[in-house]
Amino acid sequence: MALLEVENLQVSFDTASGRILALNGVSFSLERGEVLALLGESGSGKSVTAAAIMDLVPNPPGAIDRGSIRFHGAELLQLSRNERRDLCGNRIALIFQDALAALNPVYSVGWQIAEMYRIHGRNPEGGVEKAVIDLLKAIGIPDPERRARQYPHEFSGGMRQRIMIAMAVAVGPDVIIADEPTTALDVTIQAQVVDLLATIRKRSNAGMIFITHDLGVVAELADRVAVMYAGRIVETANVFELFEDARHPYSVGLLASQPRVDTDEDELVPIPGSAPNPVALPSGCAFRTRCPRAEGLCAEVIPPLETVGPGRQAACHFPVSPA
Amino acid sequence: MSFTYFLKRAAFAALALAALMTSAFFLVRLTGDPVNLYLPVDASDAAREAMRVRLGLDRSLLAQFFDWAWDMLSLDFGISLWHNRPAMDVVLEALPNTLALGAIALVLAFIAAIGMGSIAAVNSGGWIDRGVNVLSQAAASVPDFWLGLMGVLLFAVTFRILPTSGFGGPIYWVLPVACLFARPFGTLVQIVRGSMIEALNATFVRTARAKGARDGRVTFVHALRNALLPAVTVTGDLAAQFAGGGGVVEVVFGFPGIGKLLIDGILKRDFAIVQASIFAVAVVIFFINILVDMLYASIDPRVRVE
Ligand SMILES: Nc1ncnc2c1ncn2[C@@H]1O[C@H](COP(=O)(O)OP(=O)(O)O)[C@@H](O)[C@H]1O
Ligand code: SF4
Ligand SMILES: [Mg+2]
Repeated sequence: MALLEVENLQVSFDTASGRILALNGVSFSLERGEVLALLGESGSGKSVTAAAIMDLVPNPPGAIDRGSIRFHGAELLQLSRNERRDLCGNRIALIFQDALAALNPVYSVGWQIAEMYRIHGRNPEGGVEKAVIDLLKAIGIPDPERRARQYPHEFSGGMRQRIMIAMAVAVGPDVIIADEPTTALDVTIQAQVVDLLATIRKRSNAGMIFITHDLGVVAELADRVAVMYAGRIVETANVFELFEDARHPYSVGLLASQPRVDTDEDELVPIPGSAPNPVALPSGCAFRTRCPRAEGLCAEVIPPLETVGPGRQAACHFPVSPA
Repeated sequence: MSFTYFLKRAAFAALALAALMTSAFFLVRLTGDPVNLYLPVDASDAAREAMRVRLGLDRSLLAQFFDWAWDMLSLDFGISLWHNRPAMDVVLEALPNTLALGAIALVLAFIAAIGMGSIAAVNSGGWIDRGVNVLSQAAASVPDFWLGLMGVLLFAVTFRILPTSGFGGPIYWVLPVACLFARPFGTLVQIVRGSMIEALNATFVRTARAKGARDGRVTFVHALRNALLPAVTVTGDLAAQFAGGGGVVEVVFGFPGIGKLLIDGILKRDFAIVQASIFAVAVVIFFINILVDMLYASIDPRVRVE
């Protein structure tokens, strides 16, 4: 049994300009000890996927229309509001992109980390205070006793993100979802945060969903990749297969559009066109308006996510042939 | 707040107070001559002149001003014409009544507004929110003299369960407090609702949910403290207004506070009472502002910079 299984998840938002299908049948699974990268352009539905798992989809305007989210085989969408809350933080944790906005400005960082233990009734050995200090020490915050009493605005961006991560993993969750944790940071600090996540991943047996649009980070951290486009998973593959032998035309385009360390190719080819209007997605395959391989069928039938090799899937009528 | 910061503020406040008292000195003298008011219409010119001399009103305005300025510096506010004892003594008897009245009304309004505003924000757009909106709009806009008169008519005249006016046990406080409560309550509900909606949509509230905090904790621990500053600002402004007396409310209910004293003082050309009242109220407002600043800093650490 997979640790976390998302199946055919559909989430929509009612907006002034119409109904947005933010997730249109998302399916993927996560195993223990695995890092799954959720890769896609801005607006493809990555954050909404995380929100659905955490019961954070704002309702209204959003609603989970159908689908299933199973954690250790148990259906989350059937649990009560408070049962979901009890799982959050405790068993499934979320790390936000912008730690300055995500930490509460009026409570000290020590208080905010300690709250994680208090909410879930945990009594770490030596007490909560000590656990907080140890945690701050472990993520490389100097003078942790003093720093614990300080407020988010008194820390640098990199430190805040490390505090955010420390808080999320404080009580040892089984699933860690990191939503673009490095996007708001500059490059050197990004590397530190990725290192911290890699360390956590090595030490714990948790499964991690790493949300990003940055191929470089994917290569560094992920075992497997799920590529998202317009609210659907269009390809899943292990990280080597994806980089060497992508099957979905969108994945191929994405790889060609971003700089890579593993090839000498330095000519970047952007994907033509722009992300589709979420209120009026193209019929059939949502990528067809930008796809060099599109044919008549693509406008009529939505390509299902099908197995295209051992452990890998693609949602395309005319996938790119194996290299 | 450091001590030097406090001294700096006190110095500024003293300057402002000097300007205020100076303008009060001239303004009260514009309201007219007390002699005409206190002596019978048929009093002789000699009697009038004698009273002017006794009050020092016969000398030039400038000479009066310097005398007065010296008295002010030595905190001597003179004798009340009407009460015939030191003006500051009279003021210090009325001031605590006003402060207690204002404080009770404001604290109750603040607490009730936090509760109602938060509930409205949590249910924003729903029928509870709409109900709270109507109620608070009404409370914020109803004139307090109307509320006072209606209160007297209903509870004192019709039901006879509350006294119409006067002063004494707790029962005399009910109607004045209720009248002073309405406007701050209505205003604060609207403010708390607005800032709570903003706070509830902030990313840190999503973090709190992601951490597993349940609704009550999210609303009252995470969002509320962030939403409190605007409410504290407005409460501070209202407190400063109330320090000058419950105005109409004190008059309607014959409540012996500083507002009533001040109005009577003006009507009776009791210069000493007017000046002593203004001075006392200004000092109270200074301390209210200090208190608001301290509250600010204790609520939001980002304000703790100098
Ligand atoms: N609260 C919301 N209200 C309306 N639309 C939303 C909301 N949240 C997300 N969406 C829409 O859902 C789609 C997916 O958004 P998101 O998951 O945030 O993308 P990303 O992959 O960049 O994280 C977008 O079209 C976005 O406009
Ligand atoms: S289904 Fe058609 S349009 Fe869509 S990605 Fe495949 S080839 Fe391109
Ligand atoms: Mg996002």
